[in-house]
Amino acid sequence: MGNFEKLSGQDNLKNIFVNAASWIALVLLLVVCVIVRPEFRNPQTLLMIAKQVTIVGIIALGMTFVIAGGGIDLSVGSLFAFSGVSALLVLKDLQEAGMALAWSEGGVFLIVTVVALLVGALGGALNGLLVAVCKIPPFIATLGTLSIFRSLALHFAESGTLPLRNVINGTATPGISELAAPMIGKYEVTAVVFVVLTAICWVLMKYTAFGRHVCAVGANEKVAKFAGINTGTVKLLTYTLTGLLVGAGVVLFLGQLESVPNNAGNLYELDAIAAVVIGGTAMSGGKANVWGTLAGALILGLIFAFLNFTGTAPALKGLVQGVIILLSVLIQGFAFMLNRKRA
Amino acid sequence: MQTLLEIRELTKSFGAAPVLSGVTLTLERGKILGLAGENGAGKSTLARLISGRLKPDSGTIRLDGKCYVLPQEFAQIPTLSVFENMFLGKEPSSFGLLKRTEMIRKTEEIFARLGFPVDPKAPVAALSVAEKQMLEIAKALLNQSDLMILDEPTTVLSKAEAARLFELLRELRDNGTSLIFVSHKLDEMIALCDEVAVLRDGVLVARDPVSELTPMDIAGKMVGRSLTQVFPPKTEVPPDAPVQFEVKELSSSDDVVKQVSFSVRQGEILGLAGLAGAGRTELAETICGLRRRKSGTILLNGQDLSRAGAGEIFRRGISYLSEDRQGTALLTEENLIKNTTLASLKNYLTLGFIRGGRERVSTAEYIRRFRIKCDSPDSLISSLSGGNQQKVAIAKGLDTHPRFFIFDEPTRGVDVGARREIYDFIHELAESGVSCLLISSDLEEVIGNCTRVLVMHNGTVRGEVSGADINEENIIYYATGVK
Repeated sequence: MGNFEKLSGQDNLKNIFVNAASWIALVLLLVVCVIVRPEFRNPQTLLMIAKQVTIVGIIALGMTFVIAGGGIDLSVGSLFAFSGVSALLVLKDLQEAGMALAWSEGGVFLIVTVVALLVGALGGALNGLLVAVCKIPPFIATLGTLSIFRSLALHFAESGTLPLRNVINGTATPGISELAAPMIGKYEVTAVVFVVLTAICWVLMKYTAFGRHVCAVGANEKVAKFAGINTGTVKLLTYTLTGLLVGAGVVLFLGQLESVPNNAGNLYELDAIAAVVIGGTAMSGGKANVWGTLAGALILGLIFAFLNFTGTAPALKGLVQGVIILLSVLIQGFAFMLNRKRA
Repeated sequence: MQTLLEIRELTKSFGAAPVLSGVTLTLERGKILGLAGENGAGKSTLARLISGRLKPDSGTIRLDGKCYVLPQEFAQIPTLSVFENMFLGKEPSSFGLLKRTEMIRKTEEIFARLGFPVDPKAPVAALSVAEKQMLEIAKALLNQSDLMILDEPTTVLSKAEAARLFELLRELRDNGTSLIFVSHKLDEMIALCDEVAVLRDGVLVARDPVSELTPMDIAGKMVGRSLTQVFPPKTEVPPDAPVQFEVKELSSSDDVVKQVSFSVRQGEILGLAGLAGAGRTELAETICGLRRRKSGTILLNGQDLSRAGAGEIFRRGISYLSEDRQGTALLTEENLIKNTTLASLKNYLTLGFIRGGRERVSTAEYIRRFRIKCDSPDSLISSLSGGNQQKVAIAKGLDTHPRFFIFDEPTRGVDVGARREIYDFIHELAESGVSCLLISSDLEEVIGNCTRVLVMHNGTVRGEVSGADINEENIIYYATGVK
């Protein structure tokens, strides 16, 4: 019998290629962009793109777990708006109640962060309960909460835009600007937050029992159950994690915009799902590629920027996005078939 | 008498294994023939050959009319109504529009003949299991077939419903239809059939008029195989070995498992035999918390696991090798490592992080120990042969360090060489003090490996044989419920 402690070189190379396919695509795309459009030669442009994709990218990280676990979450965009609106309303109530903390810049940051994360996680947990306990198919369950969260956001924002700064008794309340915004608002910091969260999610997926169990549930729920894995808990956690990351996206968003329009997060679910699929995570579940999701988000951002610079009609953005999603799924299916044939 | 079916020298193999060899059989119009045999004797294959769903390797089948096989699993769409199911795939229509009234009328006619009081417009989902069975029979009538094959039609029926069905089948016979009745229930066979044919190992060994038979006679003809395999020497358990695992009056909430009690000593290999549908796999699932329990006690080394879920059961020292390797035991598109440690991942964590190196070393050890043929621990399960997949499934169960190991059909779909290796391994495991439960449909396997065998029938343990009493006759008597 051979020595199995080491990977054979061929396997290693093949695996690297399969796992890095989206990164290779990203580099190729970047080279094309740089050659064709001078704007891309400016590092600031690239950082701007990184910042633009951060929020959707962070949500897509959570979506990677949900999809790898055999589910889907259509409600992330609505939850984003609801979580943001909730954070600002709680803040405003606390400020009106005269709470000292709510009148300091650090306090504003703290309150917004806690409420956004909490509402995000609870909203995600609701999705998880509907799927894991009520056994509603994920597509339907999150279609329902998509409608619910959006409607609540519209209602509480009175169909308008909620500002982070309020004027209470003639005095303007503080925003995140002085303390957090200079940090969160900066391109470099946003990019770093995205990369750090990706690294954490990657470790979670690859080096913890939770990540392993997510893939097992997504690959074959019955096998997971027969291995003693509590499949319901695993699913619940994937949706809760996604909600938590939606909340994190809200915090970054407020650092950049200082207000939440009630249409915030509109169609984020499509962008997030697109990033996951382009990144190489199988829609059928069972396989996850967390770093691929980061690449997927960047590819989307790069293409949208390219369309902007070339002056393509904005209405065609959706066309390009749709074609890319379909292409990535086709390529995935093709690669899978190729693999099977060889085995 | 007019001959309806004539079969000559029929032979069929799957791969290298012959399933039917040289079967010759004729059937006249207006007769009911019972077809008996052990699991795997070739009954279902014969039925599928007659219906034309399988092609024979050699031999001829001449059927003077239409044949209809009642499926073992209902081929019904629950959301459609009864009459829509009756005509599914052969709906009468004119100009592309369905003739709804005609379908309902015809359905009503057939139901009247059957004395089957169900509204043709009711959805199939609202029907009881017995009514669904009757619907299948109504479909057969609609087809006006000359030969009907019924494969275990009474499994889901109560005594009264079965009696009603038999009445109807006799009526059909008197009107000239012939029937082949495949069943494990020998008393029913005697009550219903005109003649009984017995298959053993793919050979037709007997065919007698039912007036000359008792259930015991049929059971006797079903067995009598010579042992063709060599098994490892049996592991004797000292009589003072402590009881390691015990269940008392265990029932599943769906009543598929009823009041089962047994105990296994340390180092014992206990056999669990029974015919298909006796509830053996369901018993294993109920023990493991994979099927909801209603009542009963489960004890492992004195600790009470009666309320434990699957995760806790496996953590506390019970392992289950399930019968459905690809459906419930292994992630076929994952590698050997992830499958081996799927149930035991907790042992590979340091501060919550998976130690990939330790997983790899451990998997490599199993590969060597079980002589698993693979390129590397990173190979996908789907690239392995059935026998090697089974070894990985066993490694997965073993990696939780069990004290009680349930093997459910451990050699199904496994070639002869790997089979012996798996037997050797089970004996090794027993010698190291693990208690084993060996569930098998292959009587030879149970007889060759165990010193004590439980026999299940209809969800309960019907009998126990041990020592010199372990032989096919005794097991089949209990399994068919005649003793």
